[in-house]
Amino acid sequence: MVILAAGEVTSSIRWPWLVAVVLVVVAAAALVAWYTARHPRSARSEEAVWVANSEYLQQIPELRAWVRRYRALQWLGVTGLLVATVGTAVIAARPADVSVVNQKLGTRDIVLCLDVSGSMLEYDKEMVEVFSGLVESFEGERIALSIFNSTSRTVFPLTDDYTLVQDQLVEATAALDPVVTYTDDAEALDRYMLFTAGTTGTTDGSSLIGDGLASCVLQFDEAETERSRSIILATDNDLMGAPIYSLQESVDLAASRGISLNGLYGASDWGGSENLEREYREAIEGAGGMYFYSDDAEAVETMVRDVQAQQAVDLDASPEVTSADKAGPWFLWAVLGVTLLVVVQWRLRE
Amino acid sequence: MTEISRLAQVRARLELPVARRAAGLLEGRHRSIFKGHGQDFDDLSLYSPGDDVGDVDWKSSARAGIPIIRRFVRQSNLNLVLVVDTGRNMAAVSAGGEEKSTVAVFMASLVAYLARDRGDRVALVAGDAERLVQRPPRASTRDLEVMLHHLAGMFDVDAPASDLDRPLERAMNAFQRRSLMILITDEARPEPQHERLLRQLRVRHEVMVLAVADASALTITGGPTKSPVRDVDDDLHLPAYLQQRRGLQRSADKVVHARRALVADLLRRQQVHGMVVDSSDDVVDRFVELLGRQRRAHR
Repeated sequence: MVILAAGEVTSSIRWPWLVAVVLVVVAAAALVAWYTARHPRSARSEEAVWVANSEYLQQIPELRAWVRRYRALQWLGVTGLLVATVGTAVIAARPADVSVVNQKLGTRDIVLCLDVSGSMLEYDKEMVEVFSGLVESFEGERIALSIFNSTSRTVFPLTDDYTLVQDQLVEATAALDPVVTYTDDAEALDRYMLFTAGTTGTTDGSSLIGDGLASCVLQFDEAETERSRSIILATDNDLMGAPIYSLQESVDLAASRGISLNGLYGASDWGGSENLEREYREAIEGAGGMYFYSDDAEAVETMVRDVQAQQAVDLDASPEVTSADKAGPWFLWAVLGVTLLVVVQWRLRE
Repeated sequence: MTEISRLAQVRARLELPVARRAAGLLEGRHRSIFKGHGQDFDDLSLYSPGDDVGDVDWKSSARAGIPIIRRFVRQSNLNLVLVVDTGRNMAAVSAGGEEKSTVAVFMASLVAYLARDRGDRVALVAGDAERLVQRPPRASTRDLEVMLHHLAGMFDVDAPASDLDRPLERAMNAFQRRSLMILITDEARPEPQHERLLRQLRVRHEVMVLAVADASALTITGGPTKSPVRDVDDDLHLPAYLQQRRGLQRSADKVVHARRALVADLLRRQQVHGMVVDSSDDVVDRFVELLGRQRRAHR
């Protein structure tokens, strides 16, 4: 799965010196407590209960075992104190998950520019499916879908209304079924006709790629904001008719607007012409875009991933650093230590 | 310290029949020491606090307008010598929960009370490792009160350690006349090292040992959050965790019994009668019992 909003998450400690401070304070308190316990003030003699002739206690055989048990409990208490102290110290130092979120990645505009002539359906469908999978991980990216044959139809403009996008993409997936090229299934045909309605506005030609791409270029709004803009174009470059924009002109148009262009060449079953393919590839690569030749089913996904990788490098905006406190297991250790201490003190009756 | 009459305190605890019996028993002691004695009505004197109300001669008092008591004179005056251990061990807690010194002073008061009733004189030798106090034999109520008051003031946890040899030796040297020596100490004493002096004392005088039982260090506090338990002589670190442990207590009781048995054996060897009391409440009964035992022994 590809992540569009790549966030780098690192664990860090906000005030590492506080660990030392807490440890030192607790150690000092422990020392003071220990000292006062070992050197009781003489003023306490009034509070004490005095007995005499207690030397015989040393002769009690079981006493040693009990004293050992007592010492063991004491050490257990010290262990609890240590654990609680370390846990508390670390929590006090505020361990945090610092995530570097590149907000720029959320300012991505992607226009899917699909040639819906029969030969391209297979790739269109796959492209649409990949994107409908990607939409779930989108955060702020906008996506548009434009289909063309002899004329263009905007299925949906650039939007981050992902519910709408999902609906439309699902619909597109259903409609762009390669089966329509040889089936009599009226329903499938209807879906296809309905979806591609408006893409055959003129009868003098089909696959007017230049015009389709130019229309896609015009999808981008908010020209003054700094956003990453890319077009993913899927076509077989099988031009018929006289377009207003030639392929090269529309590629230049995209380049002039700072839009990165990536091409997917659909090798149709009827065999594309080598010339057409070369022209297409040179146009795309000339504009600095990435060009994919689709033989394999993975092509689309590979392409999308490459687009993203490329763009992640391109975006050099200042990343936004958010940090969330994350006590993690330390809190548990602190609670465990305190619990141990309380239980031991209860057992020691102190 | 308010003006309290220790003898009056004894009287408050003495029921009349018991007092009679105790006096009679003490009488028996005299018989064993001196053959023959008289009891003649001597004179009337002013009542002073601490005197027994039973001695008031009401007719004479009515005539004079002030309380007057009868006094008896006895030819056979016995010297009772209180030999008291004033070491810091006596300031600890007794088995009954009071301070041992309270019990010890009460025992001394009882002896003084009974002696005064008979007109016997009571002397005091009190001492420890550093101090030694001697009071000459006296019979008057006031002298006895002062003596007991002085004795009560000697007990303290910061007092010197106990050393029975010193008061015993002083008692040996100071009283030539045959007397009744009453040794007041605690249950751990006399120890074997005191046996020699005790034997010498026994040759010349009658000796009784009145001992106060110690509280057990293991059961002294009712539970946690009480004051620390400390020994007057030792470095005793007895955490609350070790107190109130039944198994430990049982073993401790065994050890204590063994120690008491050692003391009892020592007394038996020297043919000295003794008693061990837990608190002031059982002093009178035990003392009567002890006198009875002694009388039977001397028949």
